[in-house]
Amino acid sequence: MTILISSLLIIPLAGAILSYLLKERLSQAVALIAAVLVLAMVAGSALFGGLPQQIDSATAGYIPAINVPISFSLGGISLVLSLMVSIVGFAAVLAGNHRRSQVRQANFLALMLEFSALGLFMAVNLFIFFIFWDIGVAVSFFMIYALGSGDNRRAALKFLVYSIAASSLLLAAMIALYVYVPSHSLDYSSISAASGSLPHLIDIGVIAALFVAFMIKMPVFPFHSWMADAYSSASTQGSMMISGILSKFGAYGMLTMFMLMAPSSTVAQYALFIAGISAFYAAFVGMRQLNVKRMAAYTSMAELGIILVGISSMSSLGYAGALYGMLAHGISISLLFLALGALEYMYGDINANMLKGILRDAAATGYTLVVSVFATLGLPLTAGFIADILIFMGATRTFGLAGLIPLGALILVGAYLFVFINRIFPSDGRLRASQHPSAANLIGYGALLFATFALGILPFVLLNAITL
Amino acid sequence: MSLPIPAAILPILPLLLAAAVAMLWRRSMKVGYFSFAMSLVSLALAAAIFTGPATQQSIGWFSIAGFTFQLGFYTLMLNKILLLLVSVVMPFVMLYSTGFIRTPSDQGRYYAEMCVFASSMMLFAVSGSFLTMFIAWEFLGLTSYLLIGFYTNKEAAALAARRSITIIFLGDIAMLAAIVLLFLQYGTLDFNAIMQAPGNAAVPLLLILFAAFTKSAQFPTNEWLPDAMEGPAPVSAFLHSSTMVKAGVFLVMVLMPMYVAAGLQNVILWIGIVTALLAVSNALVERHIKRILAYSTIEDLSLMLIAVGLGNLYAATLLFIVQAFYKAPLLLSSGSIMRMNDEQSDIFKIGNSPRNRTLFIAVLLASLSLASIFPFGSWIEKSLISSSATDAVVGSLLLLISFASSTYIFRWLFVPLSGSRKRAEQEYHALRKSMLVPAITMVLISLAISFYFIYNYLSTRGAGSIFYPGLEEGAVGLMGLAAAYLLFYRKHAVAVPSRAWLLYNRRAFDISYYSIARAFNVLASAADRFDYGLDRGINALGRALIAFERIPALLESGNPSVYMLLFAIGLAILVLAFGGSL
Amino acid sequence: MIIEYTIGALAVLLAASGLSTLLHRNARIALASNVVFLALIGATFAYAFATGYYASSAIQVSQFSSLFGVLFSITLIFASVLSYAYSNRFSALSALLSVVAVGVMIVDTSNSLISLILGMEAIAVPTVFLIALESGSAEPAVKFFVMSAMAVAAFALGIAALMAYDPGLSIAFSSISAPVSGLMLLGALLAVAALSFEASLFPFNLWIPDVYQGAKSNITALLAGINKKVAFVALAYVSFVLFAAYIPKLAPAFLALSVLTMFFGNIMALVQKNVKRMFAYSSISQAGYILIGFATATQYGIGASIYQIIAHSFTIIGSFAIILWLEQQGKQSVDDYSALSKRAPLAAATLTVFMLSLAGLPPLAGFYGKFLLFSGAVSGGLLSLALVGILNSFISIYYYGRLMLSIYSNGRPKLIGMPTPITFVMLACLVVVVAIGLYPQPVIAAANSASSYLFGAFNTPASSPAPG
Repeated sequence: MTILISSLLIIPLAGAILSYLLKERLSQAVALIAAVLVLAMVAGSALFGGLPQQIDSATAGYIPAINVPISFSLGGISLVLSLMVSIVGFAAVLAGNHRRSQVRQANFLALMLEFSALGLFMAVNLFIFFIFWDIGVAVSFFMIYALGSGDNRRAALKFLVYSIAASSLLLAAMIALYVYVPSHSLDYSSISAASGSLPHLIDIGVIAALFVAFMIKMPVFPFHSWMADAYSSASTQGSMMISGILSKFGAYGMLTMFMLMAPSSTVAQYALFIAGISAFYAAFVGMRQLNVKRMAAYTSMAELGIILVGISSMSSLGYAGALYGMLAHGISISLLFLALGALEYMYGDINANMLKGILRDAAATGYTLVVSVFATLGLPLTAGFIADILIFMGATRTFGLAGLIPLGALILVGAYLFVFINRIFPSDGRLRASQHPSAANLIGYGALLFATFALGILPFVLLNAITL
Repeated sequence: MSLPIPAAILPILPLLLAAAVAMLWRRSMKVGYFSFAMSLVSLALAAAIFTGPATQQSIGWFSIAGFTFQLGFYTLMLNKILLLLVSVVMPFVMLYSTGFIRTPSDQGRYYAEMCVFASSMMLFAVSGSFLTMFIAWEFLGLTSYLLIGFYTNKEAAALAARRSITIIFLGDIAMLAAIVLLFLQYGTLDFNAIMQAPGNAAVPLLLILFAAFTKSAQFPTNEWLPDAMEGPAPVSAFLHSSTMVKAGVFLVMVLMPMYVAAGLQNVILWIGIVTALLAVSNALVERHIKRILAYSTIEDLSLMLIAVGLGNLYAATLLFIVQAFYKAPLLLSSGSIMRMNDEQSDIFKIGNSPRNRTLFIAVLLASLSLASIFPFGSWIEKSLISSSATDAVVGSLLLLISFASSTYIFRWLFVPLSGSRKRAEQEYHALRKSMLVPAITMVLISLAISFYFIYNYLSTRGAGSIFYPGLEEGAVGLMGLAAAYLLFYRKHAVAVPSRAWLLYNRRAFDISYYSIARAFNVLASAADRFDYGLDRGINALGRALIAFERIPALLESGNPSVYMLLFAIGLAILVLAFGGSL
Repeated sequence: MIIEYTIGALAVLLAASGLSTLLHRNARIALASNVVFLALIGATFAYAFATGYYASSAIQVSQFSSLFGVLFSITLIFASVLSYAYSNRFSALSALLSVVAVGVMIVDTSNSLISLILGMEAIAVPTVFLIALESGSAEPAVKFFVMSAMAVAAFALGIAALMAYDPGLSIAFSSISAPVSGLMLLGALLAVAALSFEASLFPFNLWIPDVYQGAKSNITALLAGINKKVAFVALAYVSFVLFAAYIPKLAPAFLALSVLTMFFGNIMALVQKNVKRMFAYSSISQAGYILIGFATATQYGIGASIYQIIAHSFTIIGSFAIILWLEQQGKQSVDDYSALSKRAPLAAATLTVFMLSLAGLPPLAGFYGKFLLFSGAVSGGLLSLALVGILNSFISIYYYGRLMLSIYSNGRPKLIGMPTPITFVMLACLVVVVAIGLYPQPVIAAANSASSYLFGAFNTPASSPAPG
């Protein structure tokens, strides 16, 4: 059944190339078809695959000279994350690009990012993981720069430098593992098997390098300076995908690292501490942001801090929570950016004080914004709730009451999100949109809202079968 | 895994249908009538459940790592009472709304939000596990938030909505933490299973108490409820007096055995007393017609908690029921009065209130019920609560509260009356029938219920234990009436200066909330400045690379002799450093 | 025997036909004869490599030399085609190029120090003329000439030290395992220093930026893509065959040179505003990476170096092809490259791919080079060298990123069309870089077997420290 994995990789790739070569309108159609196909395949395997740990796997020799096989596996964690990617990817491709001259590039980059994310999440070999990781970095760089606006030049360069720093650390860790894992294999199973027997310093070094690399990517304090600039200057599609999908590279890496390397409980305590600091820090900084996209960026960072709390608990509850958190966060943050992007398109400027009266003038977008805020905060029946409760159960189980402290960050995030969302309530009746939201935007809202509620109401579809 | 639909949530389904219809036909004036009809259907279903057997159902939702998340649905006595209460109040509110909400563009969102709220409230009523309860709990907060901020043309409404959701969200998080702790401790979230399990769970119980206090507007999170009066009158009547705010109290009532076991009863009692005192003192000097009633609601909720704190669940339950039927009409009527008076909300500026007989009779009877005047409304409950107060201090405080509540509600009634003589010429807006019928009907129901309660109590237990407390409560109620008459009716109404701090403590709360917010803001701006600095620091690090630009001057001289010199030096170093054995 | 004769005959024919162009002065015929003879030589070497042919007589043909024979034939063809694009004196150029080509083949197959030094001179002398011929001023040529004279002097001095032990000056001399002596070591170090000149290792490389910048880009491509690589081949012969017994002494010197060269190249590249100069420094830093394998001094490490030489040759020649095209329009600084993507998307994308490959992003050719080099270093116990290498490849992203920002900025630059020869070279290099990146197995395997020949054929077989 390797046809499933191959098509999950080939369709976005072929779609990307085709949509770059074709004319604008055709390009949009092709990109959309590719995104829908991927979504259908992933959702179909989630629903009908019966969810064993492995629905499909693909293994083939690739570079025997350095013992790198092509090895992918779909099922369990990778299925959950692929689902997130395909949902967000679909909404992002649908959202499209308003600048006609950029449609082709936008479609190309969006599908390439989807390709890299699918490859990365399905990979079961660190080398393959790394390849897709760097493709994602390069694609995101262009997403920020070529399609962005405002201070995109500085933002893109900063993003690139931070990302390559992360890649370099990852490369260092990968090389150390490659040399010191007895079988010289970077398969997850080999790494996991060897993790206990590595030389102590190498073990510490690899864990530290991976930890920092993934911290940069998530991002986690103090390596987050690239984030707000990148999110706020990328195009709508770009911020949806970078915040929704690319940040998960780091979170997923972190999860995988904890699961494979089984760091000591001291490391877990450090991780909890860092996660808590990061969540609180992001919440406090987010409170002061006047630019709504920057505010959304810090919100996302706080959420990722909470996901890291779940990972640091090193318990299956926490892992499941973190995994579900990634799913929920991907959907809710891209919904937030989609709505903000639509507002930007409709009103030209969305500085915080311009939001007045949106609830009345643009009800669909306004309410979507409200619901996305609540979804971000973990409203029950949305996916975020499942994530939050599992994360904090895991953290409390491992760390006792200290594990509950990061909930305080959630309160702070709530406090300022309510301030933000309240700006759209009162209306002086003067606000008039210069553009109507496109049908594509409305479908995008619908799809993401449906996804977040469906995953929140029917968590058993994904969770019952996952053993972590 | 499939999800069988438990019977207990059947009354919700018509409401969800109504919500969906309202969302689809957003501008149709008919959605109000449809919602009203659906609320009647839902009432019928709820009545069927009420008369049916008590059930406890538990449905596995999902499981992970040995923890099964169970959705529980109970129809025990308390659940049935709340379910019926909600479903009885709802049609009245919906009927009133059809007269009250007349703007076409408001129809869809109003009814959708109301129906979703009522669904969550019913789900809350029948919840049998913390999980189910929490789902409903957060949706109560969300819908309350949206409905408080319903009037988009009022800045104050948005502000009030934000303040309420911020406080309620605090409670949500506390509840989440409590659930996490309970689940880990007991391995289940089923109410009964937890209550029957041994073990002390003081921390989660305190967290739940805090959450309940946020929802039921108890000290120190009490001030959001008066703000919430910025919402439409039917919303205030439905959510913020008769149903949603009771969720916290209800939860404490359900979990009462655990609080008793953990010895936390006195916490509940004293928080209740403090809150009640704060509320009545505010109510005595407040001028906003609905806010006075909001303080009164806080006081009612405090009294229920006091009853729980005193161990008198019976009294708490009776008050829980009857309060809805006199407080909701008061708020509905306030909406009517405001509508009659051009949306004027200051009781000192309102005339016209007696011009409509039906309305006047309704508010008069409801006021009598609120004041503990025999044999109306709250007399029996307040007497019962007094009777279980063995402590003299508590007893006298309760009497003081009763006196004050009687005074403020008659002040509420009399001030506009006295004013109406002067301002009779004020423009009068006629009211629709749909806005009059619900209030008067509900008041009559409240009378019927209270008479039934008195009859039931006296016939089963005799008058002995409540004779003296009842006498005291009745007397205090009449004294309050007299005081109000003297101060606010016969003479010109006394407008208590707004700076009467001890009474008007709202300002103190405003200031303390504001200070807390400011403290966080200071922290936030420090963090923001740090973040900016960090960013700048990184940039500076990048710029520091420019310092390397000086190196080229050295190494890029373009002069071959320099290059040759370096070649020679390099060679020499190479030989010296690595030709060690030379 | 037939293979040596074929190669010899073809080299003679190449030189002869090259020199004959001075008579007929027909550029097309000149190009055709160069290409045809080089292709034949390449094919012969390819055959020799494929059949594992080994001979060590007047010239030595091994998998090592035949692999490089193939590489140099191809890159020399590219250099010829590139020179054809803009030169109005191509017949003269072609004659000189054919002499260089013969020199390259001599070095590649040399079996004695005499032929090695002759080959080096056969490369250096025509190169001086090539530089002078193609650039307006004599200055770069003079610089190159002076510096290379010095290098030759050092090399000759080094050989002189050897004369006492082996008057025949056979390269395979040390396989007799002479005892380590001070004089011999001095000779070895002198030879290393001399070869470091062409291989652009710090501090023997200061002429590089001036000459690279001063020469026309087709000549720069020759210098960076071929001359430099030939120097590495010579360095490999001298240090791993001739002075194999001195490796424990030489490896630390390589380590020092490698670290210095990497830092020098990267830090200097950071501040360059001229693109060509930036690439000059970039190619210096790449030489530093290549030297990591020499410092590792294992068969795996040398294999990595060989791979990196191959990958870098194509990348740098392709890059200079694009630079040549823009240089002809007076575009030289980073700012001149702005908005290149708007007018020449293919050239912009190709240059981007080359830079990403140079920065070591997968799945491009450059990445595997770094992975192999660094993992070789780690398994050879040189963890810190690998970390320095990774740090350097991180630094490099900054200047590549800056150029990418410029290329993808907005604007409408004026550009004239790209001549077919340049397009050909650019696309051919792109195909190679991407193809090797996507499927590196054959190249890695070839590099490994070449490397094993270097160790195995002349010395006792080296045990493989890492897989492969």
